Amino acid sequence: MPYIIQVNGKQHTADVESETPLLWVLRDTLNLKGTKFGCGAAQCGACTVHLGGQATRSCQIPVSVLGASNVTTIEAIGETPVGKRVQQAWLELDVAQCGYCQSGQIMSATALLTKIPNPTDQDINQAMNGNLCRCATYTRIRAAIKRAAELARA
Amino acid sequence: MRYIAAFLLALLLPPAAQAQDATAKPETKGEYLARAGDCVACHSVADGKPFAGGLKMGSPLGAIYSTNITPGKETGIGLYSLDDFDKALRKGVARDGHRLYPAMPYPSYAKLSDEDVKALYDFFMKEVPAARQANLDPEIPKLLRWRWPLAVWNAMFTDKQGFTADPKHDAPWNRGAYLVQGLGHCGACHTPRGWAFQEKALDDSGTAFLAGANLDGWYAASLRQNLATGLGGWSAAEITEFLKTGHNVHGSAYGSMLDVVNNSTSYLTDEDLAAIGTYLKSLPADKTEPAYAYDASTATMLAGGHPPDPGAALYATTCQSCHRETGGGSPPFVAPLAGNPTVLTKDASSLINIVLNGSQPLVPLGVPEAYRMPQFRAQLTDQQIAEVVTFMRQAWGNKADPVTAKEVAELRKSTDPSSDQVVILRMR
Amino acid sequence: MDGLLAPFRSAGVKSSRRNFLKASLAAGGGLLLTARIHGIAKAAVSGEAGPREIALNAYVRVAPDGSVTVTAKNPECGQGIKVMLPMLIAEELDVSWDKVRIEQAGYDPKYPAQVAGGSQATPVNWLPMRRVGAAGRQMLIQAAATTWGVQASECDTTPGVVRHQASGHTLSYGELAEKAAAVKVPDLEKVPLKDPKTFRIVGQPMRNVDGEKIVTGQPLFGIDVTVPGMLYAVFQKCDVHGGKLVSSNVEAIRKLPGVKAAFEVKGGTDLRGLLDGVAVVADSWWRANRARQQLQITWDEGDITGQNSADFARKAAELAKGAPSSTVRKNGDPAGALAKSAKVVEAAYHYPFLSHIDLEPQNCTASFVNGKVEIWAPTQNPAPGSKLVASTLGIPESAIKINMIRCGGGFGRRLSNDYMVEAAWISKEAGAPVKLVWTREDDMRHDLYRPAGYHFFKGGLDGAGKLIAFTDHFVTFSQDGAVANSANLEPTEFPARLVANLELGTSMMPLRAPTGPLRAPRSNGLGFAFQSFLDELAHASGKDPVAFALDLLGEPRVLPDPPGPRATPGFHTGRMRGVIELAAEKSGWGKTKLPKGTGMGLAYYYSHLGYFAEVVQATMAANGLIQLDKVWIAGDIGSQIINPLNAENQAQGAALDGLGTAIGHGLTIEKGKIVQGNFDTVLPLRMRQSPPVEVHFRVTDFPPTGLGEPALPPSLPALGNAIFAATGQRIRSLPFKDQKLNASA
Repeated sequence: MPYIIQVNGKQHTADVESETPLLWVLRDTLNLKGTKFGCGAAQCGACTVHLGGQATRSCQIPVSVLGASNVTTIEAIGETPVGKRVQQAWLELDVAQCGYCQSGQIMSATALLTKIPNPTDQDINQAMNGNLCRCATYTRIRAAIKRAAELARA
Repeated sequence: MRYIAAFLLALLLPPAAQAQDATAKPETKGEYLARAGDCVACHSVADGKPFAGGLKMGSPLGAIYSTNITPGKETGIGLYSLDDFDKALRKGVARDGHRLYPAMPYPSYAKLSDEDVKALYDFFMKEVPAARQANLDPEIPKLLRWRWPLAVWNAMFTDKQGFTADPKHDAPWNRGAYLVQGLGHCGACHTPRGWAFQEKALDDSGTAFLAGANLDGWYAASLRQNLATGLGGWSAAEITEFLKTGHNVHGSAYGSMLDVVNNSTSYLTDEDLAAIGTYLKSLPADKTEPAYAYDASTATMLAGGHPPDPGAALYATTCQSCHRETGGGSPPFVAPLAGNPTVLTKDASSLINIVLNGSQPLVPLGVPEAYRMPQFRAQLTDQQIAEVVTFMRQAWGNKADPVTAKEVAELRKSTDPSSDQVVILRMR
Repeated sequence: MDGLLAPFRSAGVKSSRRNFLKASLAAGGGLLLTARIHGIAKAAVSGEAGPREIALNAYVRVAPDGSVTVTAKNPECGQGIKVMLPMLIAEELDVSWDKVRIEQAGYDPKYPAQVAGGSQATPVNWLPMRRVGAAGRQMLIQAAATTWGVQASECDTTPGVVRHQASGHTLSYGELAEKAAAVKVPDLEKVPLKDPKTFRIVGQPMRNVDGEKIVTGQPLFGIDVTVPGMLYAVFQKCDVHGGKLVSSNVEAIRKLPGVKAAFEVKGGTDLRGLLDGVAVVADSWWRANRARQQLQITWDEGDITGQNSADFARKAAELAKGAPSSTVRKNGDPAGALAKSAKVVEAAYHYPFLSHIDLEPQNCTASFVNGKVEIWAPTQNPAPGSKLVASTLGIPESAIKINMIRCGGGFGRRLSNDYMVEAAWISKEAGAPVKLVWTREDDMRHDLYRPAGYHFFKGGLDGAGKLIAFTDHFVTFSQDGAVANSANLEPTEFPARLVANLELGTSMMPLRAPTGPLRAPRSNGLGFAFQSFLDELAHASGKDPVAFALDLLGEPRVLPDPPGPRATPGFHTGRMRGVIELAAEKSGWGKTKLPKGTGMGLAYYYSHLGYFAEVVQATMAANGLIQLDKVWIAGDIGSQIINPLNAENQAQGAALDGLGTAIGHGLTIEKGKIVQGNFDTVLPLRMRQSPPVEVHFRVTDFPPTGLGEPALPPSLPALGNAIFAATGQRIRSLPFKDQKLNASA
């Protein structure tokens, strides 16, 4: 059945089964490929989006529960000041290797910095632990989060 | 009562012509009753022939194996007359006179009508293919294998009366009572057991009936009208939905209830499921407790990103993405934790078990569920699981006791991780 | 390079080899350079070549405005090659890096060695790519010299500009491009190369060219490919690898929502090729996969006797009681020396099967139309993929076009192209373009696994603590009668060549599951076993592990490899000493006072031509978890770190990959099937486990080599050795989590 959902500030209609995960609606129905499929079990974080401001694994959100909540994806996160700074820090520090997990990392990092503008290492561990990086770029992810915080202070 | 011995295998099914039958609607009355009795769940194994037995089951004395109930003459029940079959089913006595272990729920099946026994007999004799597969010996020490004490046990604890309709109630209620007490043998898991492992009540005349019980590391929740820990907050329609699909707005099936939904209740007619709902809704609470009331402050705390303790922090990193900061999950696909009887109940075994071992896929009518609980056995320590489970039991207005690392450690030892493989047990 | 070419000369190939740089006008105007060494390419195909066949090809396009497009010929899977190879070309071409546009090549047989594996891209391309750039520069200089009527030798370049020194005339590359395209191509081998001291690009930190797309979520990976009319496919195979399809309920599946096609596939017996299964094609991936979950399939699994991890462990222990079935190397009299040793140490080590777990599950898009197929594949190795698709579909390779798409991780998994042939076959059968996407469970259960291994060591020390005897009975796996892929032990395995009495032997157990190379193949397991046991010997000798290692290595010298196709330039004890000393110095080894429960472990390993020593500091926390405090990496990969920004990232990632593997990876086989399916049972390293990693390179006079792989092997044993130092507990079996040693903060 058709579901009307709010993604990146725009209204979209997705005519899919009620169980369909948001991830596949984003990727295949709305053609927003930035949100990645990694595990389908909320274990890797590659599909992280913001749902009502919370970093959420879109592979575990059935489209039918979205209601009027706004979904923000990597494609639009640069429109927020925090998201923009996170992207800038990621580029400055050349964080990515293969890059596949990084959209999810950036979504989690942006949610963290929105809540906690100057996170400690412990805050970073806490907020980023759900995002796997198989290339293990964790050293730079941590540094880039701190750099984004610094950019906000500057 | 039933534990799956090992990692279950993928679908091993006979040639294509029959493959579709594995999940087909029952064709005969006998087959329907066999579904209602969930015979297949214990008398088949995932990679075995239908009803050929061989399932390892825990018992207080040691492991026993379910038996071959196909019409094979040498290894099955092919030589059973209707009377032999009836004795086994309703009295727990095999054709050769030996007494069955009460893992076979004959105390419940004693409630079956003669007509239904006959229909079941016809199904097993005429519709189930004979399978040559020898029964396995119980792993019970020799000295404890004497079966004569079972006669005494039977004399003390089984009901000889059969089911009598209660004229004070209408037909659907009585149909529900018949299914719940009899074929459904719900009490086998949901009724607490006494000193001799007997169910403390076999029908609604006892307040212990379906009052919740712990078996093999799982706590089967109370099915009585307790407001927070039972079905007091569930409508009859929601009970029906749960039995039909394995989940509803309040929660999802897990543990052996998965087998019940997969192999039994999802095949029942809407009328029968409604009857079960009607009957269960009539069982009064066995204790008074306040109704669950949602507390929004947990969600505000989690959304703020400053979890105050390790349990909340673990929830935020490990669980929140699916079960949400509200604890509301995404029902019916992802179970809510706020107000879920499994979370609220005094015995936290099931909740701990699910976190440790995850959940096997629900497969109502052959369609695997879209979402599945992963396991955290390898990812979290006993202490961490205790912390996160304690958090869930006290968040969003949930009011239940804390859990200790020791409880988790014991369950870790005595349980196995769930397989993610879809298992469909065939009846033909 | 000259050394590498020598065999061709001696084989008389030189006369038939023509080095030339083909120049032509690119379609959009400007200069197109195509460089090639024909003789070597031919030698490789005809099989005449000696070790390391090298052919070369590169595109350089110079636009009239002076901007330069450089083609990156190799597959990119996170190793940074898409930046590194163009850096070499741009350096010698002498252009500003900011004027360079990098274009990813598709698969094209005219490009040699389009493969991401073995950390070989640096040693193989270091000179050839520079020569391509240098030849282009010569042609631009010649074009300018002709214009001015002067000698080319009187001209030089500044980035993007040719200059006549005497007159001060200048012409930009853009102005010269058209004329340069007509210039005779210089001899690649004679073309002068820059003095590395004058490098402006090589050695500078250069960022990922796809960074912008990555951080903004633009379509970039194989899984992001969309082509018009595309449908989505899933493919169910037998979880016992190579199991045959008997029957299925595929007709029922065709009726499910969104399903456009569903059919049985009869494959072959090559576990890297198309196998039996059922394909489901639908109008969305989710619907395809939901329909597939309702498949009921009867498989003929074949013989799975003994195909259980528990049986393998039992059988390995039995085999270890006897002599190895084959001897890999024997020096001196190991038995006699052990009998005479003052101290004998015995230990059994084990490491499990591993999956590559690329974060982007295997996928491929294919469009089969009128006997031709176009493929969009995240592959590390398109050439065999093209052959596989051709032979399976019965079409010529000329009818196949493969677009190489950025891979979301590779680690060796995408050296095989099973997903590619599946997509091509499904597209052909379905009559539509399809994107095949595997689930995580498909990916983990249908991999080419790092083989498990069982090592039974003995070591003998004399009264002075010197290692005088060393034996390993390695129980490994065979497939179809031969040693399984990446399950071999070579006679050069350290400490071979350094211990007078040494024996390395193997016995094999037959394995059904396919195996293959995983990042630092062989070394990722052997390094753990050998370096952990050597640490045991160091402690038994009463010496500090650093001192023990330096004693064992002795004076700086080259220990040559036995001749053969796998021979490397040999093992240089001095280079290994150098990195051990550097790691010890940077970590404060033996100097830092560590608290109780904290320890440092050292390990060192030579693989893929790189020398790495690593120190891990770990603490046994009060909650019983291992805390990884810090890692120090010291590497020697020769005279030049081409892109230090990426080199640091790769080295850090490799060491952390190793640590994650040590702690949380491990597959078990039950009844021929992989038990684990997702990241709840296979646990890659996570943020809160991840320690700071310092990377130090020792620059030496040797040719530059790769580092994506050699930086990995030492980290696993270094952690085990640190745990021993911290707690006295010796971990001899991976993963640590199975030893109740998990890591979390």
